[in-house]
Order: sequence, then C-alpha cells, then structure tokens
Amino acid sequence: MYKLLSTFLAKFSFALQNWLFVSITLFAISAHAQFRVEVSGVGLTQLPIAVASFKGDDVSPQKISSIVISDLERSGLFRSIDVGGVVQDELSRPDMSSWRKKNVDAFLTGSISRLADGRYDVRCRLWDTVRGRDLGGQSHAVVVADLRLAAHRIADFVYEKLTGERSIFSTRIAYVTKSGGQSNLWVADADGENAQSALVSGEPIISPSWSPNGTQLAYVSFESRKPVVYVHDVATGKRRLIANFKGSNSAPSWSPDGKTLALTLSRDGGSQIYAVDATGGEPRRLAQSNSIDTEATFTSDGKSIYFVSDRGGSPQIYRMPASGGTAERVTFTGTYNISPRLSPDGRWLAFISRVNGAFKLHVMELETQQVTAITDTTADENPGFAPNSRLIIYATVHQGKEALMTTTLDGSFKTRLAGQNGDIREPDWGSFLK
Amino acid sequence: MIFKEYAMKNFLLVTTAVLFLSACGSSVKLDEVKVEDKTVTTPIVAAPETLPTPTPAPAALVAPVNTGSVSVRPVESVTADSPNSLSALGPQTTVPAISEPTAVQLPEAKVVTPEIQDAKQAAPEIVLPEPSATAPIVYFDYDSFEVRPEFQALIEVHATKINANKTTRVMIEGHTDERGGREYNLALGQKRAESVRQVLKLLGVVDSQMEAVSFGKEKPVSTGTSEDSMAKNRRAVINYR
Repeated sequence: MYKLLSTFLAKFSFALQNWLFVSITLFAISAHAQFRVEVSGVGLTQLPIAVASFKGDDVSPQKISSIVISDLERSGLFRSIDVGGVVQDELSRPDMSSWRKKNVDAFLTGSISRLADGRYDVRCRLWDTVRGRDLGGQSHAVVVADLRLAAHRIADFVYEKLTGERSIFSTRIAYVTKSGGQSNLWVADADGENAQSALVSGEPIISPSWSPNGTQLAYVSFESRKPVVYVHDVATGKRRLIANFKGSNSAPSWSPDGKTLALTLSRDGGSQIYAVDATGGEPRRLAQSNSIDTEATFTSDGKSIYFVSDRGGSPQIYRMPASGGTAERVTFTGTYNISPRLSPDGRWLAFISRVNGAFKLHVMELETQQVTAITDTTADENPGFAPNSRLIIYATVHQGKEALMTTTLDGSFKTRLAGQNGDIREPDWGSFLK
Repeated sequence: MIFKEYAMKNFLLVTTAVLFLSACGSSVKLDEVKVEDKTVTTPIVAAPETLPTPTPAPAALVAPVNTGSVSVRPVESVTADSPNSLSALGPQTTVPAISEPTAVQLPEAKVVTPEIQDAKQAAPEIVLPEPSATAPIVYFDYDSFEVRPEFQALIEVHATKINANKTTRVMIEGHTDERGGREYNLALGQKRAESVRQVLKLLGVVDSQMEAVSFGKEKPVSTGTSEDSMAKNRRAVINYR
C-alpha cells in the first residue's frame, strides 16, 4: 500500500512536468531566512496538511510546529495549509468536517510543556481528517538543546505515516564555509540549522564525505600546503591522516560497508583512482589511464564505482567494477560531465554538466538513461542524495551568493537551506543514523 | 483542460490513497493515548579540553578541531548562537600562509572574445599574461595544461637555478580559474603542475628536488569574473620551499 502511493507520486511528478506552466515564486517563510523556490502547479500533487500551533509553542525556545512545517514542505510532498493561528494540543479531537471543508487531508496537533526536571515534554497527534481517524502520536522528553531534534522526529513520524517511506528530517549534513581567509567544516541538521564546527582552518577544506555509519567525515585539507586526506571522528575530534602521498591526495569516497575509501592520488603521475583501507595503509590502484581519473563514487551495493575520466578527450562519467577493471562510459551528451553521485536506491545518477558554459545539475534515470536538467542556476556543484533517495542537495550561486539548495528529483520543488555565514559550499548528506 | 482533469484525478487518487493508508493505520479510542515514547538527543558539541563523560545517550557528538601548524588541538566550543566564531575561539595558532606568487606588474591581458566556449569548439582568443622576468609563473589556456612556447625561457631560468644547488627543493603548484567542479579542477591544476615539472625534468632537474601539487580553484589570485581576471588564475607556480 505504502509503496503504491510513493511510486505513484514519483511517476506522477515526472508526467506532470510535460503539462506544467512554469512560473517561479519566492516566499520568505521564517525568521531563519530559509526560503523556498516553488514551481507553481506542482502544488496539486502535494498532500495538503494542516499543522496547528502546538500548545506551548509561543513560550517554547523553539517553535516546534514551524520546524515541522518547514521540514514537510521541504520534502516537496506536502503543502502546508494556513491554520490562521489555531492552537491545538494532542488530547482533543479536532472538528473533522471543518478541516475537510478547507481541503485538508491530515491535521497535526501537539503540545510542549516543562517537566519538573527542567526538560521539555513534546507531544503530538496526527489526524486523518478525511476518515476522521487518529493516526497515533509521539512524545519526546528532551533538554532544550534537543528541541529541534524532537521537532524533526515528529516531522519524520508524519512523513512516514502518510507516505510509507523512510524520512530524512533528523539526518545530518556536512558543509564548508569560507569567510575571510578561514575555512570551517560544519556538521548540521538536514535543514542546515544547528550547525556545529568540526574543523577550523586557515587553509581550504573540500570534499567532505560521511562514513556510512555517520560517525566519521573524510575530507581534503590544505593545511599542510598541499591537499591531503583525513578521516575525522566527529564525536571526539580525533583524526587520521589517511593519504599524504607525494603530489595531491583528494576525492575521498566511502564504500557502503565503511571499510574502504576510494581516493584520487597523483603519486604515480597524473590524477588516478586508488582504494585504501579506511584504517589506512598502502593504496591499491583501481584504474590505469594517461588522463585524469577522479571523483570515484560507489554504488550502494558496493559492486561498482562511477568516476570521471577525460580519457576520451574531455571529462565524462564512467563505470567500472569496484575492484577495478574495464570501464564503461555512462554519459554521452555534452563535452563536460563531472561529479557523479548515485541515489541509495540505485535508480538515479546525479551529475554536473557544462552546457554553453553554465554548470548545471542533471539527473539520469539509470534504467532508461533519460537525462534531465533540473535547475535554473548556472554554477551548480557537488550534488548528493538524501538517504531516502527523494531529494538532492547541491551547492550553487543563487542571486549572486553561494547557497546550498535541496531539490526534488524532478526539479519541481527547491529550497535554499539556512547555513552559517560566509561563502557556503561542499555539502554532503549523511546516512540514516543507526 | 487536460491539466485540470489531471489535477482533479490526482487529487482524488491521493485522497483515496490516504484513505487506504489510514485504514491500515491503527484506530485508537480517544481516551487511550497511543504514543511512542522516545528519548532523543541531538548530537552535541564536546567540551573543549576535557573529554565528554560517557553517557547512555547516543554518542553523536561533534568536537571542534582547530588546525595548528601541524598538530591538532581542540578549542573552546563554538555554538550555533555565536556565528562570529572568530571571537569565541581559543588561542589560535596562525597557519603560515602559503606564499602567494610574487606581486608583479602584469601587463593587462587583452580580451578578444569573452564568449565562453565548450572545450571542443575553437579556443577563445584570450591573450595570457606575459611571462615575467622574475615571477616563476606559467599561465595556461582555459581547459588546457599545455605549456605554451613563450613560457619555455622562464622555466629554463628556474631549471638552471634548481640544478645549481642540490639542496634546493621546489613545489610546483597548479591552479585553475573558478569555473567548474572543485575535484576536477584539482586534477586539472595537477596536470598543469606536472606539465611544468616535465619541462624541468627535460632540462635536467631530478625528481627528488621537485614535487607537483594542485590547489585547483581554491587559491585564486584574482577574484574578478572577466576573462582577463580569470586568466591570471590559470597558472602553475614554481615555489621554492
């Protein structure tokens, strides 16, 4: 049943593209300066949901209902209906017919109250207003620092109940900011908020890459005046220098079992792809060419690696077995295709293609090899998939400023993420926390 | 209109789907509150100097790290409430800045056609900064790592200098302009550095005296968006370390 709705929604979004009359509208929706860029018309494929102000929201350090609304809308699958300031807790049954009249299919209520030990008790209940049914609820007892996480968990609960798919709102992202001469590697919530610094450096940091278990970040640092690769334990701050060979060391990418890192090393002349144990050691060369080979990325079954090579004269994306071997070309349109990333469900390839000088995010459906450009911006970089394969995060320049964006796979719904000050780039989306 | 039909159909289908879903959901009597009780903890920033005391909470902490010159040392915790983290940081060791190319008076590069072309089409007619008599910088065309003939003499000067002293070590640093992906540009910068290294090698410089590395597009000398400005960034620098 659940699968039905999700595949239906996926297919429908794509079909609807052919009939969309495209216009772009900008909304400022919260004080956090997060705004959404919506392609109008797609609203009719979204599930209309109303989220009441939670009882106690007005005096809570975090407005839980706002965070839930932002999360659900960012997924592109929900359209939040204005409740006109209605406050309702999880104990009372709503007036189903009045919500049905507003064309609302689901209604979320809740409350936040202070416990004797100083923590906050955050509760919710979800209603199916069409059938008049209680779909259940949640309660979270949290310290103030975890209020946003409680809201994300509630948004996950709503998303999973109504779509049957795994939700990503309480996952984490990493990204880099650069301000003045200083670079900062941040770990943040999936909405870009609540960022905590994992690394500060006077030299650039690029290519952060989450380990599959979400505890480590691999990245490239220029702090020793050449690019080297670290594996960094985020909780303890301890890090290992995993690649400091002669020449440049870069493009770390984890195998799905977390045991191996693919890397680009120039130690033998030219940028070439190697595999190294995540604990360190001697690298094994995976491919051999007289050209640039770089940006290796594993498929989620761990069996293949996609990578960039200009062995054909200009950068294109290829696929080879994860242990190395014969490479097959994957991209055939245009003369510059880089930054391949695969969706965890194995169905999609995101990449950046240069078209008439502009660098644009494209998505390929691997089964059909159909390719679609999904952005209007011209300086897109570094795409990555949400762990449920439903959203892509990427860096771009939006209205003259560096920004991180998320988009649905068909490009129909985009949001700019909140983030720390400075030029913001190099996002990587972590996996589901185990 | 087809659009309206589709929209209506979809709306009905979605509603039906939601109905199916809710039918699968549990129905609960109003006074029996069925809630899932979950304890959640946000990944927190570890305290700076002391290690966090082990707690049963999921250990999804973030401990901030400041790169000293080489060694790593935790600093005072920086929270999201203090975005101006510079003031909140503990004693900061300055990482020695990578020596920028010697400031020289570069002649203005004349831009003939500022059109950006794809690699396969004719290369734009952009005049590169001329080789300097003093600055060890080789400039490159867009998308190219080929050392142009006009830079040969400059490289010879430096080959002679390096060969004259067996203890001299140079780092050849390749760079690109800001267009394109960071990792691919790192590789392109590497090609540029290696092209210059190859010329030096042919002039007798031994491998142990030189290393080719890349900064990709991370260390531009010029931040403008004109072709003239970007041409100044497509370079390989012979850096005496």
